[in-house]
Amino acid sequence: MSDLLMQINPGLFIIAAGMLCALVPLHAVRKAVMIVAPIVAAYFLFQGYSSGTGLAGELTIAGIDLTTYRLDRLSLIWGYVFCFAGLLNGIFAFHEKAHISDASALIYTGAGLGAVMAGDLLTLFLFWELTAVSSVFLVWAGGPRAYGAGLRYLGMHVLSGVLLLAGAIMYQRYSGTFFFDGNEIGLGVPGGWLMLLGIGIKAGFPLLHTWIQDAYPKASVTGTVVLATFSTKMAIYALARGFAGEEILIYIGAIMTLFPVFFAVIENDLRKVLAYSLNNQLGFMVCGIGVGTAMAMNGVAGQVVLHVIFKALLFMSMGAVLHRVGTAKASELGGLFRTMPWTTVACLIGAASIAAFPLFAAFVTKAMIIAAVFEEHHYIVYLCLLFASAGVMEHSGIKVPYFAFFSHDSGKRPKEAPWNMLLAMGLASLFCIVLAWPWGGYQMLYNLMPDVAAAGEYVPYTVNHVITQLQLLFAAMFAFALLKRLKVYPPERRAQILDFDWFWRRPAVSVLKWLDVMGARVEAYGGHAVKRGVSGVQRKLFEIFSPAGAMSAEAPSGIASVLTAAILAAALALVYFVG
Amino acid sequence: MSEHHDAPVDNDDIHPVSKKFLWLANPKVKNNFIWFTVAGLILTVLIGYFFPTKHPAPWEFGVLYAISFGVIGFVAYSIVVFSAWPLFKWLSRPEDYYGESDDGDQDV
Repeated sequence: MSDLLMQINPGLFIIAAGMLCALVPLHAVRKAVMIVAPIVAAYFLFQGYSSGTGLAGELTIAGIDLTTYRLDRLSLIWGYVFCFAGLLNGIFAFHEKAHISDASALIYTGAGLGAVMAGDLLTLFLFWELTAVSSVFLVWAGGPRAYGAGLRYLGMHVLSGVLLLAGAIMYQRYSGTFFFDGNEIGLGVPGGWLMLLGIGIKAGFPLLHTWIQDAYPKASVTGTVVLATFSTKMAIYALARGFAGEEILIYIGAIMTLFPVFFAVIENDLRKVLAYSLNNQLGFMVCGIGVGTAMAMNGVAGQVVLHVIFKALLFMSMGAVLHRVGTAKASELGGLFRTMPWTTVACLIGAASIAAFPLFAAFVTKAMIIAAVFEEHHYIVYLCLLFASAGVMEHSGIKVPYFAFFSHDSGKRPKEAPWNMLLAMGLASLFCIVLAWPWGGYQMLYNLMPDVAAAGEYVPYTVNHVITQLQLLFAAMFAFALLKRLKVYPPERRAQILDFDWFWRRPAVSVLKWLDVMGARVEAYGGHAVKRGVSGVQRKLFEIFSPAGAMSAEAPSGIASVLTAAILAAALALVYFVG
Repeated sequence: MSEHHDAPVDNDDIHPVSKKFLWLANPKVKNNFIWFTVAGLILTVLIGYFFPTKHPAPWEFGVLYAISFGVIGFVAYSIVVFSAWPLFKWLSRPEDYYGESDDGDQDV
């Protein structure tokens, strides 16, 4: 029996738990399931890796060989941190009586875990789409104001999946298999660019990133914490698995580290600031994948682990503020350390971790990525990463804790966060410190990295590294204090800050409305001839794209359609039962 | 931008743990925080001078290796902050610009 269970992708256990949550009306039972399910999945990962599972869950459907479960060092580290994040989310949301959110959070967690454990592109695609369908409910849990953002979120994610599938089918035609492993994909194979674009949407590539800042701050208090973990890191995994060493990623990553810094400084909503900060941190990871050396890939894997934890910690602290105060706008906050001391400490630990202070989380792993960039002589990119590190200090290291908990006294005296939120933040804080601890702490993280031997060669706690990093951070803090004293630091003001999504939320919508009006006029004047032309185009499209059409003649797209339909049916069933 | 003022401290409202840290809100502490950063900067420059990096970057010639990270940190931070003024002018719009409420209010 246990041998059989070892053959099953553990993401499916959590998805099954999510389905169960959708049917269970008892709050306590649902919450217990939310906490236990990730622990069980982590247990199966541990047992599976210890017994050398490797590739498992091999199926043949409609002549297509699928490898639904792959457990190696790269997927293992992602798997563990996804399970840990699931546990944190379960604890953090313990107080919340939200039937739909509980189910969708678990299904989303399971889909994320399933995706990083997928051995082939088709299985990856299925879980990829399931993350989109399940997580949109977490966005909508933010209330009516999140409805539009949820639709845009869903649109971007479905587009991402479609591009991934299109690329995967092209790759399958070329290689004869959907199976993929280290650097077998790349940009040199048919479909490589399509897959990179699809993955790039989820990874928050420049210009494709806006769904993160649009949806995450509008989601519910607990929803944002869940959302911030899986989709983007799943995309980083797909890049690490298929595109390591692609040089273009170095430059894409460098741009990703830079541009969010400039948006974050003018943004008033502190959860949106953290969403930009998320983009910036993803840039470090993408950059490391582009370098692709053993040290860089270790740095990326380690950074993913720590980023999941400290970003969850920061979102949890701002979530606690939002839960108690009712807003996360910097202009409305200040002085909350008076009544929320433990939340303040948690936020400060998260801030120190993301800013890479010695003894705190990112000090080890971010330095590995930057050192790998330096070793490969990408000096301009190296400078960009140092610039971005000072930027991280600005928005996440100083701005978020300062304006929420210190700054002026807003006069607000909220209660401290509920015990479960404090417990989740405490657990995350503990790991932020333990995994960067010089004496046996970061070595635990090293033991999980893809290349343990290479990881052991990098010694983070040298006098030079500690001093240079502290110098950078002290200089940034000095600049903050000086600019504040000179009253040059910009005040926090309520506003909508335009980002690249303006192009499709304003001009593109206007063009579509104009086309709609013009179409109606042409139809009114053109009459029969126009209608005949339109129906001719529709008939042609049906001949090509329908299930019996030319594009579906090949088995891969046919089976993919069936599987996609199955996922959508499952989602509909979920909504039906939950609703 | 909403106006704020430091509210008088009513110790009854303060969390017991926070009572030991109310000095953080003291204007003198806030004003003198800058000297803490100056001290940290000087200390790291001095120690950095005696512990040069094994692989200096191309721009770390002469004794610049001892201050290069400080210069990068200060300049980068200042660029980001100074850029905020024109960027806010260029990119900010009223909160209801897209016709969607974006007030961030949630259930308390």
